[in-house]
Amino acid sequence: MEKIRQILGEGWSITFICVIVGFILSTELRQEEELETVTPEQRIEELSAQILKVEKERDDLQKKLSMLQEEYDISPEELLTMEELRMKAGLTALEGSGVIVRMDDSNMTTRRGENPNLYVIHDEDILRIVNELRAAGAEAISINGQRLTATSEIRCAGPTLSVNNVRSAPPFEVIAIGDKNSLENSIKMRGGVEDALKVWGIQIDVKSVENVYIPPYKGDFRHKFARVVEEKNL
Amino acid sequence: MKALIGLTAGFFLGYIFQVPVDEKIFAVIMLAAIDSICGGFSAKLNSNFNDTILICGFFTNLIFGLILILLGNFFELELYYIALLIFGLRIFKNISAAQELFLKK
Repeated sequence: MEKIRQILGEGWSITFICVIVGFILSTELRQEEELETVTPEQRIEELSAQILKVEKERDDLQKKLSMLQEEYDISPEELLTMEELRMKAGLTALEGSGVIVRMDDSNMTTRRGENPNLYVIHDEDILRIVNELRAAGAEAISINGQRLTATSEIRCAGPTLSVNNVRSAPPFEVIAIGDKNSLENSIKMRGGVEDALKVWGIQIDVKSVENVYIPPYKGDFRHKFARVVEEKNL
Repeated sequence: MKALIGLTAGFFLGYIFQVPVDEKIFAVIMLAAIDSICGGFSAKLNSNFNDTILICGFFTNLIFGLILILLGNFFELELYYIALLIFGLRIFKNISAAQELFLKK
């Protein structure tokens, strides 16, 4: 210490304090650097151009498909066998590669004056997850062992979640079959669902698995008001 | 000059050892340091500059500021604003004192 004092002479304390200031500044700047993850504009343009191209391709293919169908005079309904229909309706158990999304309520302590409702999982959160998974091409989805069908509901029932009129409490496990990479990315996307939920400390864990099992829908379908009619051009 | 050397040395140290700093602690350390530097400057103009007193003052201020942060976290109150406010006041007071002395000379 004496030696340092002799070298620096009077004013060593200022030097010392400056060292601390520099240290703090650089760590702070570094943290900010890491936070800066804005997508550059050029990339956005590139991607939107790509989307337009692929959409055009898709439309062309759809036209081709309908042309071919007219040619052979097969309606898409006839292409489906009974087994396929059962699968599509969610009446068969399915297996395949997919993701398992585990969610649990926040483990953050609620600050005084803050709404504790912000820190628990709501039906909207699950809906957003399911929406993302479907957009990413999920073929079958189940929530806590309840298969999602075309008429399944997802809603809050008190502190629990009701799916297919069966209630379950957190932790929730959403299982989806599909391309596991795109499913995983759809949830983990920057600024996506996972990021939004993590702000509130909600624990969410996405795992892509080679083989997941999805149970069939065990309820029944009731069609009291709807009746089948010929297709109309609106 | 010495200050610049210190700043660069600290910058490199911070770059090598990546320490995550809480923003409250960051604010308190930053203001305590600026306060000490301003205090030192005005003391120098007053020609009663003393290294030991300056460094002791810096550390006592810093430690009390950190205690306020801890207390604030414990009671979930933003107590550290007190430290920031006082440091800010002292900085401006020192600057104005230094300016007065400078103009008198």
